Amino acid sequence: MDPLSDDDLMRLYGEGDAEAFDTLFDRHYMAVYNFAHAMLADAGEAEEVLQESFLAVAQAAKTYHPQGMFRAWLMRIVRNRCLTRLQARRARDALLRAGGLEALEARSPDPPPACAEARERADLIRSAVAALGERQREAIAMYAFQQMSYQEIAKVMEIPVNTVKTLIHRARAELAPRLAPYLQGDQR
Amino acid sequence: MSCEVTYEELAAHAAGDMDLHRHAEMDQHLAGCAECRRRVEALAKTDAALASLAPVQPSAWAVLEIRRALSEIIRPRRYPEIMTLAEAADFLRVRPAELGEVAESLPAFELAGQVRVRRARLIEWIEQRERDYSRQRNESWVARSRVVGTGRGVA
Repeated sequence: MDPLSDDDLMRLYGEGDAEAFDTLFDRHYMAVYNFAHAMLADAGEAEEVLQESFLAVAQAAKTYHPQGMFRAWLMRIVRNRCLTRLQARRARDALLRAGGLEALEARSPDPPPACAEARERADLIRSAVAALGERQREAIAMYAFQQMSYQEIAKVMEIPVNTVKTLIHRARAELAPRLAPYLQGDQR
Repeated sequence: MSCEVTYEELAAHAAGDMDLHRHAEMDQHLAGCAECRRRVEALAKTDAALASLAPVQPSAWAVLEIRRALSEIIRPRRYPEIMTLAEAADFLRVRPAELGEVAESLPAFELAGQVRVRRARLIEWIEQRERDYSRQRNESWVARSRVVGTGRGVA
């Protein structure tokens, strides 16, 4: 038997089936967490966004319109929460700077350090992604880490498909020369 | 001498997101440009590295806590078979004081000087009220229709 679609599960949850919501959570929580982690580069904040996002899903179950786009709808919720946090972070950092204080912690990781041996390879790649501009980062996180289509990403970011392509190609174009020294031994 | 083709163009070419004419030009260019071939190689390795990156795992404790917090919200509270008036009010989503308005018809019973309500009887009572409400609404609709119908006849 085919597994129930996300839309089916939302409908069942809307009718009071709590287990349907559990299934949705199991199916998507890793994608939500990983996207939030790529956006925020902070495990604690990513966990908070994970909880907030599924809470929003639960609250919206009655008004959800099934269109076969659950993942894009969910990721738009996650993205909005991440952007709100990034905005708050920028405002806080600006306030600290205005007060003559440095930001308490460097939230945007630096580009990969010269000494690659000191870092795990995965951390190195994530740091490089985290150092991208915000829009490039979110586009590449959805494209490369979630295997989302250009169309889905366009829905999440509410921008044209061609803009999504440009963001992704720019992100790859920035990442390739940065990572090249560390990926020399890799096979294509 | 550095080549004028940008990394971004090479990235679009590698992804097949380029019009056919420009794609063919790039193919031709790549055949003669060692620097661009090296950059295409770097792009391919970057794409492969991104695609093979293992997902980040949230801590098991955090996931457990989130599940617990969500569960409290998504699972409606279970009410006992015999409820106090406060529980019955909560079940009906009204304040206990508001139960006074329906106290006479509420299917309650007295036990050791305290009022109790059976959940099953309360649900039957709700269903009866639903039927009454539906009938009243229908009657009121029919009455309105007659008034409108009469008015049209006169006109």
